Amino acid sequence: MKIEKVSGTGSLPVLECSHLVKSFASRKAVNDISFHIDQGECYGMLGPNGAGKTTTISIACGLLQKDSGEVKVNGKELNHKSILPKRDIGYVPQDLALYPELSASDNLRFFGKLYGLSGRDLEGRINETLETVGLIDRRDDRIESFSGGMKRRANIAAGLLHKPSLLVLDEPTVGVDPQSRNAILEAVQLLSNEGMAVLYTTHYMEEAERLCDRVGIIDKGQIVAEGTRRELVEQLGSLDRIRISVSGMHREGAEVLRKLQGVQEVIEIGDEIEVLIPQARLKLPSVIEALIENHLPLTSLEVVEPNLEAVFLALTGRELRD
Amino acid sequence: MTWLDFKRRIRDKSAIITSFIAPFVLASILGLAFGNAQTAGLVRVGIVITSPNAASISIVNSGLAEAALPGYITIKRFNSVAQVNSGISNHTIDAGIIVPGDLGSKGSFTDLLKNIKDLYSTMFVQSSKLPDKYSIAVISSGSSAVPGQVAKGIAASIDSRIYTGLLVATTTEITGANQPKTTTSVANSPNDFLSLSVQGAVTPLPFTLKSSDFGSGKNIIGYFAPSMAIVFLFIGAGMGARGIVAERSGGTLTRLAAAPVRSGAVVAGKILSILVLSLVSVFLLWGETAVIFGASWGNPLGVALLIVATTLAMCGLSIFLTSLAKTEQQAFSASAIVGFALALLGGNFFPPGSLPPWMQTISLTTPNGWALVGFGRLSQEGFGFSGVLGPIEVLGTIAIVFGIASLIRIGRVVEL
Repeated sequence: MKIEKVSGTGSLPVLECSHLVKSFASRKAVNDISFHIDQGECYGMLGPNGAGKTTTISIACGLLQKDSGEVKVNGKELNHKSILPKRDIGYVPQDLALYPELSASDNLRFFGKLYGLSGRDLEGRINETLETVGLIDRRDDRIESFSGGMKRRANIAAGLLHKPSLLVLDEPTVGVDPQSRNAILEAVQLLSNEGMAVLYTTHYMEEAERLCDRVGIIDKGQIVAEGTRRELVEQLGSLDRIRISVSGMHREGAEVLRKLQGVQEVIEIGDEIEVLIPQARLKLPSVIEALIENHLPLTSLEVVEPNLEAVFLALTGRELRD
Repeated sequence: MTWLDFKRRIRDKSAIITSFIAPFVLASILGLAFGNAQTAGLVRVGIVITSPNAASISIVNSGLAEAALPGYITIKRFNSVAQVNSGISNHTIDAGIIVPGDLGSKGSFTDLLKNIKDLYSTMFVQSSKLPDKYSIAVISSGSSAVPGQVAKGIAASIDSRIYTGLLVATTTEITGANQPKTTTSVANSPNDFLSLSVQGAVTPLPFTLKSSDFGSGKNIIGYFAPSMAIVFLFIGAGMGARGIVAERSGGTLTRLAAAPVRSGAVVAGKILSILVLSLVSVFLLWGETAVIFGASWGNPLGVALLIVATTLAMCGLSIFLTSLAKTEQQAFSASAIVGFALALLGGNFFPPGSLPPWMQTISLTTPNGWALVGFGRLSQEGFGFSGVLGPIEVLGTIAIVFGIASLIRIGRVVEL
């Protein structure tokens, strides 16, 4: 079943953070960060460990007192002492924030009551939420008997229980098996499609690329770049690359390809030729045609598009997982 | 929040063991072990002879010599009953013996024997209505069962000495052999005395014990039950506070902080759940020991108020100390080490009154020491509610000081 994505109405953003600053002793963990998330938008905060992601979302969820700046959730100002705006936020911390000695449903019951849910509403939501994360058949089992991935999914369920308009997930797939990871990503995608605003922090580039409508790249407490994946790549000015192998004739091949229209650069790397060219997929037929016309034996061909990893590397000079 | 947290805590097996099972089992074991045991500590017994003379002093000295008292029992002589009572109140002695002083009005052995015979004549006639002046009274400090037993043994020895004297004198009189020159004839029939003695009708002087029944084992459980409850109050509250530290490292506190609930409510809920569990455990132990062992903790109002004051003080101190820890492991060590040290200093593992004087003084620097004084007065001395106002006042002060400190500390733990 294909679900149409509910997009923002153009009214107030669900979350609006302006000029957030937070220091620990002399170290500025968050340094003038601003971003916003609209309804139905999945915003990825991408950065290495220690970049300031968790501090930023802790401020955005009212867990941490900021030094300066402003956070608004659905237009209501939020600080660490706020009560009402917190009802709109579903927070899924990085650590497993559940009571291991209680069952999944008891944990959800506990946290649901904190959000004012009760009676049939609560029981209904418990079942719906466990269904969403694929744990309905384990609802009465203790959390301590769950696998790591199941615990993570239960952790997400606790954040979803009260149907928040903003779901904040802090690296929810760290240390999770591929099956659970996929289940988590699908659940987040589904929720975003249903109109929930999602703030998703990760240092896995592929997750950000798969899930997020917009990405903010954070490094040393600052957002160094922001936009859709394509915008970020264009911002960087990176070109697509075509990697070609022509057995034993790479020199001749390179000469042919240099003459093609639109080619910016041709680099010989060992037995391979790397062609830098905008919109490589569109140019692929002419590249192949030129090689065949010149009787060059094409053995392999690969299109490499610039990704967020490359963008991050270019912006920060560091690998994402450093 | 309190109810939810309470439910969560009672599903934790270690909390059940610490709060409900361990205090009951240990109190039972200690109660049974020490219920009829002699003391291992120092026992100070005061003796007073009302209107003493050479004869009565001689009788008492003979009785003490016969008793062959071990080194850990010290005898202190007093000049008045008031001094003995005061000594017990001030904890300078643990028990007192009051020997009737009119056994020999002229100070001669013959007079003494005559008076004893007169006494026994009276007993034959009205043994069930023996006048108080012929009773050897034993009084003991309520916090102490063992000194009462020791004093009772010494009194029995003195009593036996009087009885022996009576028999010797009577036999001498009947046979006419080795009569002291000063012996005067006795008005009533010596044959009757001897005959009745042989038949077992003449019994040693009875003595009254001005306290409850120390030696039955039942009431020593009435002492050890609150004593163990106090120890596990500290450990149990420490576990609760440790749980809060663990919640911080485990992440659930973060989720609570993200919920639309005031941090004050979270703190209050956590602390209240610890207090409720602690109170339930002590009240339950009170009921269990009363039903199963027939143990009496004393005046119900006094016990109830003392339980509340003790729980608040012990939990306040325990939560405060545990909340200083940065990790769960540190919290565990803090509650275990301090709990054990307090139990030793406060005297929780020892029979009542068995601590040497210097340790009794030190025990009053601990909240559990004060609680034991209160529970001892109620269960061992038979004090009413007013008798424990002092300990309640001290415990209340400790509860207020550490309660406030705990609220502040836990507030900081809950805030990220």
